[in-house]
Amino acid sequence: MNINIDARKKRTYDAIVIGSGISGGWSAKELCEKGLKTLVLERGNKLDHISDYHTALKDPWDLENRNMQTEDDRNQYAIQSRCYAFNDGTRHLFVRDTDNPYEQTKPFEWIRGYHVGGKSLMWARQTYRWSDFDFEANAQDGHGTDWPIRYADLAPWYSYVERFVGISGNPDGLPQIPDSEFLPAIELTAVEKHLQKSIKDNYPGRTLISGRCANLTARINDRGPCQFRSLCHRGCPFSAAFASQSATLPAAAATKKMTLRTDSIVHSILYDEKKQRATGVRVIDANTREMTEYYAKIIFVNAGTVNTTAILLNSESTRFPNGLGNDSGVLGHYLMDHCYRGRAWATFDGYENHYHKGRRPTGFYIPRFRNLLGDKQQNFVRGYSIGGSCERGAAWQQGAWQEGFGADFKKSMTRPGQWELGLHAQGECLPHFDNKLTINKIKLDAWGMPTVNFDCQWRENELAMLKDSSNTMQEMLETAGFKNIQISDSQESPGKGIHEMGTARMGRDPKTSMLNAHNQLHSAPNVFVTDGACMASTATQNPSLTYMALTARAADFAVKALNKRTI
Amino acid sequence: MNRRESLQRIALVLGGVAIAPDLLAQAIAGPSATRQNTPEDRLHILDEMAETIIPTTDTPGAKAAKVGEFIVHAVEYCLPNDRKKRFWDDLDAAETACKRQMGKSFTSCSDNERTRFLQQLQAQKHAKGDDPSVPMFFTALKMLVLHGYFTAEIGATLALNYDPIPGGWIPDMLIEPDTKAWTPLF
Repeated sequence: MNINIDARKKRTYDAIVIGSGISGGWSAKELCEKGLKTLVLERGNKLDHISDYHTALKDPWDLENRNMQTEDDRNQYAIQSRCYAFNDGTRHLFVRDTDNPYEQTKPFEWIRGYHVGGKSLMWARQTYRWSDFDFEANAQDGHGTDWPIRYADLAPWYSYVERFVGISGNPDGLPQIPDSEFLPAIELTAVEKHLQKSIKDNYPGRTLISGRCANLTARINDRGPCQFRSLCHRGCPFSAAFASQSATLPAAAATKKMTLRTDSIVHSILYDEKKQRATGVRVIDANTREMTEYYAKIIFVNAGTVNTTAILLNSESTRFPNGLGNDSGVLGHYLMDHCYRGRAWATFDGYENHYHKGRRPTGFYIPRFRNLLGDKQQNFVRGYSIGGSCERGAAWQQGAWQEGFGADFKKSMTRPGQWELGLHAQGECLPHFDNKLTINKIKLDAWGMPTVNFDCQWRENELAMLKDSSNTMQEMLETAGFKNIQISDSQESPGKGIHEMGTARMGRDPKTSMLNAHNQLHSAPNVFVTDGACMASTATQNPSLTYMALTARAADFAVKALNKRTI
Repeated sequence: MNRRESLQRIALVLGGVAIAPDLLAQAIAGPSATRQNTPEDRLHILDEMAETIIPTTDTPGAKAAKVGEFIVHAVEYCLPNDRKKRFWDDLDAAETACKRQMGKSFTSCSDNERTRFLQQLQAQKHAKGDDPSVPMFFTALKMLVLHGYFTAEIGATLALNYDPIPGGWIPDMLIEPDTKAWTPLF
């Protein structure tokens, strides 16, 4: 008996954080810094900062396939290999699809990295604040349910996380993307400035700005500055690209309050019906398949949108037969992603004696201008932003399509290439009940966990927006004098934006939402969800910065509530 | 991000190599069918074709950069399985055509003969009904030669301006007509 009590005590913490990605890292840092003995559970392998970035400094000729995709990649990483960040230098950071199956009632491209840091290692680091245009949107047009918070609730927390993360950008003064706490911006190229001026002169209400990103243009503590290699996805040995293991996890570790346990797949969250509280988690050891329970007063679920919801769905009890906290029945529903299908490519004649030096970890950004500040569209609600870049590559990259070979051809191939522009529209996705994920308890994976099934598709509003964004991109490029303009539809399925959001949304009403204004499960108040699952809408901005701010805010609330003994 | 995507596109396009060049087909139409070359012969032919496309000038050429070896690897591991055989068939067909026309292997031809033969390959047009977005053999070969050469240490560091750790970003700088490109890293 005493042995059992001791064993249980050994496995008891103040807090448990499920996941070590971008939001889990923040949960760990905040909870540890507030003095809580915290267990961080990561389903994937150990991946130490710098020492485990074994491709970070590899030259192109030392990469196995010189960055060409292999037939094995296409077979074993059938979904992951479609991600823009997947290549010879990053393959090991993506899950092998053949080992991690899921079901697709409708196609869903689920991009995953199972290791310490999760996708915070491979993300594109674009960071924009949301505004009240976004937090009020659901209430105003009736799609989805009202956010229980407004910009004012989050603004101080944006500042708080930004000062730690380090965001490079300009104070552009745009109401739809309020200014962050900025480090110096990464400036635009000559032709981008030309496009910026053309848009300003011809399209009131539209603004092209330097892409704001979580790359340090100035040193913060012992991190950075950016060396402009733009090989961020391999892991940054200069700690200049924000990742959990370069920033939040070391801060958490420094408190000596954190226990980080890798290879720990969370099976479910334990619920005590008498206490009406979650008491801990059940964990499968990824190597031995052994099950262990860990206990804590509060639990932060940061497994990444899909896995967070899968864990909640798998956490069944008499009180919650349909998943923890799922009184409303909305758990798993209202799955969203940004629609990146609209693309443009073009070239620019001129500025032939202009070039640039270094490789930027960002590009430019045109924040939302539709259905905003006087613009009103008939065919769709909300809007899209447009991201892109215009740079010169090397001539050889387009050389195969040019006539010629031999000495003169070789010489011409060593020159800077033409100015090439790429654009992608980033469309807001409306919350829709029928866009959902479920778990299949009959079809289990290698660890005995239910597999996830996706049933999600782009709908009328996204498609109407796609059409409009294609037209506006064409128009703006023509006006600015770009040549060889090619507008395309990538046709990609939801998921590919890697901004999967929703499925355990925040809201004011427990009948239609899972979480309250502090990311607390309405009906299990010591469980917090602060990753993409909590989102009640997608806005048009990249979401990670908002996850970080929501997490820091929720952690602050949780610890105060704990001290007041209200949870 | 966009350039990365365009690189991915190249890989995808390469995945679709399919060729049946008319002229080659004519050249090899005759009593003897295309002769299959040994892996050693193919490597040798590829090296010489690559060297003709990217010759040694003031910087070393494709042969020194072991482009043939790269192409063998790329065809074996990177092309889809069904395209792999087509690539080797087309290379063998080219060699057979060369022997028929020049009376000797491509590897034994003089520089002038090599240039003349590759010009013929370059002039191949898609046959009626072929998908024009699928590159002809010579285009596919050239793509592999360029990729192999400029990602090899010799090409990346001697033929281009290699700057693995730039240390900063200069968004706009003026260049001369003979300025070399920065080596793309991705």
